[in-house]
Amino acid sequence: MTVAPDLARTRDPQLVWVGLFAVVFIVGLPAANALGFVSDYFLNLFGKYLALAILALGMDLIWGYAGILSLGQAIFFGIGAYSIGMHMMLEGAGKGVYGEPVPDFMIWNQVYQLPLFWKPYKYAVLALASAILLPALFAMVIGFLTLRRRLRGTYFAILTQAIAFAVWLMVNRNEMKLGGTNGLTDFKSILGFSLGSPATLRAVYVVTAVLLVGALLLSRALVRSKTGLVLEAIRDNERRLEFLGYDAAGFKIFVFAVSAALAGLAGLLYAPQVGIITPSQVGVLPSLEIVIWVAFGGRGTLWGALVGAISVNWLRSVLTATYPSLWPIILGGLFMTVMLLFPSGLVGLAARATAVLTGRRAVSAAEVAPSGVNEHTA
Amino acid sequence: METLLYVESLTVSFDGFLALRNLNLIIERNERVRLLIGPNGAGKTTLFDVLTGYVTPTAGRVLFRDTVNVLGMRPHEIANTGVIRKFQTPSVFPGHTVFENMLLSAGRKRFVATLGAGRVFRDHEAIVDVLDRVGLRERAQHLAGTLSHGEKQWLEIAMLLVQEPTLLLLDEPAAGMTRPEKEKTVALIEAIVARSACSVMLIEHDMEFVRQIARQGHRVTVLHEGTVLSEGSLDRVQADERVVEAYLGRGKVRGAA
Repeated sequence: MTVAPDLARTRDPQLVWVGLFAVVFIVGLPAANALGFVSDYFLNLFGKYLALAILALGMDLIWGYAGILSLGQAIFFGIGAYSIGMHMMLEGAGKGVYGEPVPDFMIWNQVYQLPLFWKPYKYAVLALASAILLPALFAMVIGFLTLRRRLRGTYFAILTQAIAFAVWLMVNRNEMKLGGTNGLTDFKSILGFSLGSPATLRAVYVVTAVLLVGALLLSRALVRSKTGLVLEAIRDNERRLEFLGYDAAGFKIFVFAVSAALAGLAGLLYAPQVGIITPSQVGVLPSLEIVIWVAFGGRGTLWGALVGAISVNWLRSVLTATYPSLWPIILGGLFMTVMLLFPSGLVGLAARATAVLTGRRAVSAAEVAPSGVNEHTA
Repeated sequence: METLLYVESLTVSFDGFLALRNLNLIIERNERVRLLIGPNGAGKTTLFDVLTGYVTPTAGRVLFRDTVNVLGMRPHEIANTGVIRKFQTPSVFPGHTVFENMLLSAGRKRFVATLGAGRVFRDHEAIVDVLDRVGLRERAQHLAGTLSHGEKQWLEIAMLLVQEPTLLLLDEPAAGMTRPEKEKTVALIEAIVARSACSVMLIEHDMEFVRQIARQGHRVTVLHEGTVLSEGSLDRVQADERVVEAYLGRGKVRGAA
């Protein structure tokens, strides 16, 4: 046990940075808000960004590390958001305009009895479980049907995109009893606390920040374990890995399920802070946006996912207020710029700048990545 | 019967083209090295593909150590029984360091076992030992993608050795190497045979390389058009009229004598 520690490469940022991040977002920002330096609006905005950062972490695990492009992450996000949304609707049922024991929108559709599948969502525990475990379960089913059958690369991306589109179509229908195109909104309270009170929103913010740091630590442990090495190896040369004795499909299904659970958790935290969840957040376009966040921040580094999600969404808040119609063009332009000019994203750019400043030459994995690893094409 | 590998009437068809036709091959348990030669398209690599579960044959039987039926097993399952393969072109993980490549190769491969294992763990002494043997210990922290072609080939051999294989399948381990690199590879293979218990099956085109390995008296199998054309010591197969014809008949020169 003498040679190993210096032989193993440690390339993750040190824990100090995680600690610093935690202090700023869990303690600093809410404290500043309580003291009046930061407005409630601003804190709530950051609460949304942090929830979306959890979504980006999941995307980074599956796409950045394992190299599997999932274009259906918004489905899992939607399951999380709708799960908590349904629970909050039921908390508010009976207090609405009509005083009926079902959410108001159901009255508009002549539904006076609570549909059976809504019933479990009366219970907070079941709603929370559904928000996190249902996406993981759904991902495992998709994974078993596709990843075990060696469906990979572009085909997997297209398939997940098709599923996202199908889910979007379904959720839009009033017959699904999920509020149709209007989605779920007008939430009154969460777990008994009024959503009208700044104190509740501040608490939701703190919970979001704590869970983001938790998700970051969990992801960090995962990518630094041997499993992390295997995931990166799947990205670089899956066949080689199989001939080393690894059942690659099992690892792929696992990382897909983890990314889905994180997406569900993100949705769970997002919906109460925004106060609305509609099908437009579930379909193809939001799934693609997640890819852009991660690419912009830097895929294959956990910090890249956080930086990307927070910065792009902050940019969106600023720009959609002033130039709403330009936003899709800017987002597309951002993606192209990153892909063409700095494929390792903001984090990669920062690493390169540090290397130049300190005079070290950093060889990034991207520079030595395989060009054509498939020798069996002939 | 004490065979390491028993291949019976193996036939592989790619859309009607017979890559292997009725191939029979037996390697005894105590046989240490078997050389596989033959002109291009003879089916050498296809045979390795079948043995490692990458290609499913149309007919035939393959038994490993008398009892393990290799056909129908998935590649990772075959690898875990001890049949380990080196690819024709160096196949290392370029974005991982040499040490990380070795970590991936060593130890347990089941998902749950990897979850708990950190990147530094108990297999490291075996890793350092094997890296020493291939001369890559000093480069343990380098990214594998930055190694030279020859070093990548050796790293891949090291990755196979640390798995303690029973049967090592080497597909053209000296391809693209310089002369000194080839000599080092010959010495490496001889050291593997001398020091570990594994048997080696080796595909090679380079006759000079084959001659150096075969001088220990190892058997040579000549494949031609998907079946075994001749088998025996190098001198014997080289004297075989059919072998001469197979090489010359396809317009290939049989290497300087």
